Amino acid sequence: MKIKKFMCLFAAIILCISLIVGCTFQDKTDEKGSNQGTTQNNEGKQEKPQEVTLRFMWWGGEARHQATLEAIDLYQKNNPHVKINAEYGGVDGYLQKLATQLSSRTAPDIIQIDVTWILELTSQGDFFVDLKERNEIDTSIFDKNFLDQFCYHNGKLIGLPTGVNAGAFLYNKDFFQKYGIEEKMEWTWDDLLEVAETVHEKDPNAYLLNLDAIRCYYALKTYVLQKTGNYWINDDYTLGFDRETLVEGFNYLNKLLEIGAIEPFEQSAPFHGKPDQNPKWLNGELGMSWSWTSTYAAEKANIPNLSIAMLPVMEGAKDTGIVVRPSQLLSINKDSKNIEEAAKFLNWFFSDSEAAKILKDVRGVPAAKVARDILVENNMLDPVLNEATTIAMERMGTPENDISQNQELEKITTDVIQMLAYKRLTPEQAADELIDRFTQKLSELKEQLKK
Amino acid sequence: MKYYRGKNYVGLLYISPWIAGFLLFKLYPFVMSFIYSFTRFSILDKPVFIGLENYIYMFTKDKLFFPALKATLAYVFMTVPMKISFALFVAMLLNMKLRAINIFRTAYYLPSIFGGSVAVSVLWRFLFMKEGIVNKFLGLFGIKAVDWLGNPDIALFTVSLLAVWQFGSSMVIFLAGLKQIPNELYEAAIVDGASRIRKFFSITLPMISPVMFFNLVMQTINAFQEFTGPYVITGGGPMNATYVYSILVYDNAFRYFRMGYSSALSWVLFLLIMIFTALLFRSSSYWTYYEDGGK
Repeated sequence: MKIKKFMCLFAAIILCISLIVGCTFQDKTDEKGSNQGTTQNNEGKQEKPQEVTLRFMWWGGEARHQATLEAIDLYQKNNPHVKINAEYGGVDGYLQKLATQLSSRTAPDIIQIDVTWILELTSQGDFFVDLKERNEIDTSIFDKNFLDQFCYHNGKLIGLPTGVNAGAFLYNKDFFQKYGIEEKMEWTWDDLLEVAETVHEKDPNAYLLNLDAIRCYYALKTYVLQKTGNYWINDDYTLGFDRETLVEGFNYLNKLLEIGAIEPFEQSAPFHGKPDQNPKWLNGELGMSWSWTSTYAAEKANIPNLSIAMLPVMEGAKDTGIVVRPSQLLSINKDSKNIEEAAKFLNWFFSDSEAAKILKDVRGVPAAKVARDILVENNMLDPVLNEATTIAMERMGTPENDISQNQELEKITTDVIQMLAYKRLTPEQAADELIDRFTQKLSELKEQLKK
Repeated sequence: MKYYRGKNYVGLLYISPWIAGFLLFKLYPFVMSFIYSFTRFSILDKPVFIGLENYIYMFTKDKLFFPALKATLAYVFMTVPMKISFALFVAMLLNMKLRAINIFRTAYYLPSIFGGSVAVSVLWRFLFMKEGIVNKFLGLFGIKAVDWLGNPDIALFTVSLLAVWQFGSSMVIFLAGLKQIPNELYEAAIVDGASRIRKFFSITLPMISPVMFFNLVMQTINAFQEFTGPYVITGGGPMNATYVYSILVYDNAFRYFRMGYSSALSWVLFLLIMIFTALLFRSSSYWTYYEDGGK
């Protein structure tokens, strides 16, 4: 009996040990590299720089992943002492993951972030290195105005812009040919109605616009901003528009829905939040998508004959409402143990000609002028994309303030837009409902701010 | 007694990984979420104590709380009976003495292995979209295409079908229960000239009622917490028809970064599940039958 008991205990201990060993085994091999570096240093042979491992996290599509990995490979080849671990995936859940990592101090060294997150993240703590203090990085390659508008927060340079991203239509040339639509760069709001109507009359299964409730919200916002020339929501948490203008906006949206410019929500509902995955769009039964220039490369992989047009601007618009902003920012984690190496990598990433040639426009048209020039010289920049970006830069609207991009307000608006699309509300009622819910939510948010 | 105690440590050692996991990933979050539910906490910042404010806000101001609650209750009352009756039906089919019955049993269990995974939910979207396979199939019989996911009145039903499809685990338990029924009872019933339906209601149902009770409790608890299906298939839409409670919890936690409020919501859900489970336990004495009198 006793022997049996002993055996049991023994087996259990072996199991436990194997569990622990199994878990730590990988770490040991990983550390090997850096250990070697340190022992060498200790021995005083300081020929080789200390080996470091950097973690670089980004989100994106297939094309971006491939190009970035290739760039990392090249950098590792040029700098054998640096090892860069790539952590990449889709944008779904990225911010959630990042927030958790930041709060638990396990975030990567180099982090791709979105401009809209800056305020949210920095208000919670000091997570990012002030890049203007790093001598390794030459910030003069970026447009100063662009940096000032988007990348600074409280006088600190939070991140560097990867590319220029502008709101734009992406349209399917095949669709345009099929329905005899004239291809053009400039659209007006009335054009859209007119063309959309003829398309839908020709073919009841075809719709000019690929818009889900969220994209409808962008359109509504743009329409209203062009009328008011104001912020969507003012900095003091009051509405940046009056009821009349909002009703006009909803009326326009309603018209789009009624004449069949937009695929009915009943049909497109499964693709709410992901209109780029809608099979009708991929099959060329939807003509144009209210989107971003930064997604052009990724979407072109699915729709080969894709092109870009400008978002509509009405005559006498007080503000174009066209959002132009960095596609993303690359930041360095303040907790990083290798800030210097990370900064060197970033500088190379943005300014080296080989890097630029590999990365091309997978993060939108490069924001750094040197990189852009290299691409143009080598004919590597899609001329349409370059042109669209240049025009968009010229007619860039006032950058949105933070509260205008609030997620809870977005949820409210998309809810109301759905009620309009499902005919539960008239445009007037929709405007009232929206104002009502906004006012309540804004007063709540303001109250929280005080505390 | 001595023998028993000696073994105890070994046993504890065996389950120690589970205990560690339970303490770290279940008990700790459980306690912390209760504490956080009285705070304003945005995960990145330090929590601020605000008393009952979260709970008061939930019932007085949150415009999505009651709709979400309604959707969840509708989902539970739709999914649980459908799933259980379907599982029982399949279990009875698979209880027949057929050749190669084990292959069928395995095949019918497969959907549950896929579970509520994201991939299956995406598949569901493509099955039930306007031009999806289901509508194409119905078209063969001349039935007009239905907006399975786009119609606010049907969407929740379509989503709950996904849960019904994963009937496997309840089915296996039912199957075990059915196998326990002594054959003499059926033989006696046949001698008395009972019909199939009579046999089902007078013998099968009472005999498996404890199993039924177990399934009912487990499935109700699961259904209240359903997230993946509605979130991936419809994202809570259209018009919040499938905006179930756990999506509300998720949105507040990870979209608006209101961890404190989200914890409070979770605790209300927890209480709700407790109440429903208690009700089921209370009612069970009226309809479950134990051979040993339930002792």
